[in-house]
Amino acid sequence: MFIVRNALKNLWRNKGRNILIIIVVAIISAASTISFAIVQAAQHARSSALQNTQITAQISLNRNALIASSSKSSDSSSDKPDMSAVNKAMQEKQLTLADYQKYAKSEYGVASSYYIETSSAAEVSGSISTIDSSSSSSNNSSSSGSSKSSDSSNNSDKSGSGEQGGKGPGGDGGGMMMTSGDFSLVAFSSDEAIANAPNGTFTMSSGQVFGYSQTDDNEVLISKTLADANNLKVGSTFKIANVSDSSKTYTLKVVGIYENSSDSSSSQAGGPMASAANDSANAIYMSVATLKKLGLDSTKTLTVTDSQGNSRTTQAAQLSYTYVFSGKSDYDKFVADVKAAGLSSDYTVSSMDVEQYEQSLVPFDNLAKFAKTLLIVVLSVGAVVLIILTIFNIRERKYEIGVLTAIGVKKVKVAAQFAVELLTVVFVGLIIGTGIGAATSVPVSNSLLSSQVASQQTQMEQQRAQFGRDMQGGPGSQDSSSSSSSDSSSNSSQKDSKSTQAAPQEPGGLRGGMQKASSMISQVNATVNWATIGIMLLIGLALTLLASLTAAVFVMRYEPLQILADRS
Amino acid sequence: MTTTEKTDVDIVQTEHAQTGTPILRLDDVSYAYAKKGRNVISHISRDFYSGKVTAIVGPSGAGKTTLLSLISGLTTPTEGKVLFENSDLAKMDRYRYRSRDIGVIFQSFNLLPGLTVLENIMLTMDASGKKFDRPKKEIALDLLKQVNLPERYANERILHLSGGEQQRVAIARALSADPRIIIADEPTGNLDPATQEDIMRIFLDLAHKQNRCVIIVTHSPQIAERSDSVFKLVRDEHAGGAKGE
Repeated sequence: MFIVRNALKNLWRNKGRNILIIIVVAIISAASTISFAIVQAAQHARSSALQNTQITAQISLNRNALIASSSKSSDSSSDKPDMSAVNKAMQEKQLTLADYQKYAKSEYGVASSYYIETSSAAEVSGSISTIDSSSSSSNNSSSSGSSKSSDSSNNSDKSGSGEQGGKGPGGDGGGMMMTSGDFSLVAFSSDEAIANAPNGTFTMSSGQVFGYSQTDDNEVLISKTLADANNLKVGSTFKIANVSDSSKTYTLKVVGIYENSSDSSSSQAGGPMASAANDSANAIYMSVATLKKLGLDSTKTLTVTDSQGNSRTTQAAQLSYTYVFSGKSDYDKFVADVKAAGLSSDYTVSSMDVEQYEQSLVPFDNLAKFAKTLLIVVLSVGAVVLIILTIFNIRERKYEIGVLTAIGVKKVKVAAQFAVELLTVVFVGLIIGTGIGAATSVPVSNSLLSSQVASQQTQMEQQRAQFGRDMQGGPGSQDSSSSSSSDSSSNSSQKDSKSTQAAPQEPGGLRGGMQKASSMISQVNATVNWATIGIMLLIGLALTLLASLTAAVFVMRYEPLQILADRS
Repeated sequence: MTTTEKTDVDIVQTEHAQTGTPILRLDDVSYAYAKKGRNVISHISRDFYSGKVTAIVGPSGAGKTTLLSLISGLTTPTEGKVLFENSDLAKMDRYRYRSRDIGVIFQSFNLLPGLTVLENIMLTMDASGKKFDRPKKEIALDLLKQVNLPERYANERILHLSGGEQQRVAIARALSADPRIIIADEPTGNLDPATQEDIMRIFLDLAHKQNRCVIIVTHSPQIAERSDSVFKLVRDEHAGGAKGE
């Protein structure tokens, strides 16, 4: 093939111009490589980071939608939605255990599921006394229990919106708990549920965890603090009372004494209204079977009378059902499948894990968007420059084309010669550029990302300056509202300090996500892989093709007679 | 050239003399640059034979270069036919014709200035797609000898050569693919009389010794005089174009 030979010779003959093209192509391909690496890293982070990690999700009532629909349907005289109707609707729409279990099928992508029921109980004088950090007297327990029970219904509403913001299983806040009674009875459905205990993980200091089958003994775990205070040991029994009916008592047997791994008080973000049950030391752990036996599970109801004398019926226990997925794709499948399976739009599926991760990806996504734009701009500018250079090249070598065609070289071959020249030059530029891009993609993309993170942080700081605090959502705002309705000033300060102490660990809401955003993705592994190199090759080929086509059009248009006549 | 080749050539020449078949024939050819435009040449008929040097003469604007373009297959006539070995050029693969069957020495030489002498010659050999029994470089060096160009010029760039030297390279290039027809456009235009004579000698040898058909477009009466036959183009004002005589 003398065409190829001639093309290669011509490369050397036109050193200057070819070096120029190589530089242009190298710049284009370096920029493209980096952009591609960033875009790919972003895609990879999105798709695979959560792929093999365990994701937990919950189904919750979409309160906002309910309130919105209620305010629409209510009479126009009042702007406020009819809250009692909303509450009633919410009460009715509370999913039961059976409802939750309906969706916990492996065909929906659920790897496993567990649930935690939280109820409460009052202390029985002489049997066991609570650990009360606010040193409130114990003899008004039943009255406080009932008054707090009314609270609990409110609280349950709030807990819902807390869940809506997405609640991690590990660090559940106070919103979920019933802040009534003296003890919180926390019932677990499985070991997995225990591992995700709302008060944080714990270790056994003595005894062992109960089984999940129903026993006659009402086996429970109590905290070491409670055990020490009441001198209880493994094997001891004690009594607690129903919060709405103090005459109804239950006898429980201690099978184990646990110690919370984390600070016992911090995971409970109770305001001043919080009762002794909020103290995690007063949490009594049992199996759901035991709770059911006690008649305090979520299918039962309690009638409580609040301080104004209104009696209300509430669920005896709050049910928190958690689905576990082995990866993001299973979670996505679940979200789609439960919709298809008839979960009404009043409910939403949410996952704290996914949401937090999505939040943390914001600067990364911005960077990827920037990289995409850069890619398009660079490629189009590059294509234009390459075409212009080719046109100049062809026009300059018009005479050569004339001579070649005059001596009988077919125009197609002449065009092919130009294409070979271009391809070689672009290829060299591509290799150099991709090499530079590969070498610099990691530091360049990291510096780009850090500027993105910085701008994100500036935005957060501006918000902070505006609000005087972090922007809050979900449970955070509830805390502030509940503390505004404070009663006793003596313990409010103490509890407040407690709640501020608890604040950094608060899950959910924008704040948690934002903090993660600034801390989590500040490094991007934008390495160049074979796929990128393959794509770069395709780009190079496409660019060459484009420029070659331009060259071919010019070559075809030239008539040797014309060129040679012009010359002579 | 070896003696055996000469013998072959003589046989061929005899054959042609016997049959009298022209290698190239212009059959009532007219040409106009634009459709329905003025004919640059009109209704020209002429036969060209192997082994003969034909001089095409005529005043400027008589259509000499146009005729050359028609013969070399760079363009096709608007009327009539150009026949190469009895086949219509207009229906042939003219790229193949140009690269294998005809060697053109352009007025402005049309050598590639960026290439060396040898590269220019070998490019034409490559373009012809012919197979050669000897290395191309060897053939090219032989051709240089034939056009009386010293071998040291082989790797010289065209740009560094004088007009006469470029002319010789152009001839060598035209011969490189071993074509049956050689066409030269004003080959002696800017050359001194001694060089003119030398170049003419080469053309005569190509026709007489190698039995090629040589067609020379020229203004020079000396060249015309030394040719085997002369084809005179005149400006034919009535017909609106040149006419053979």
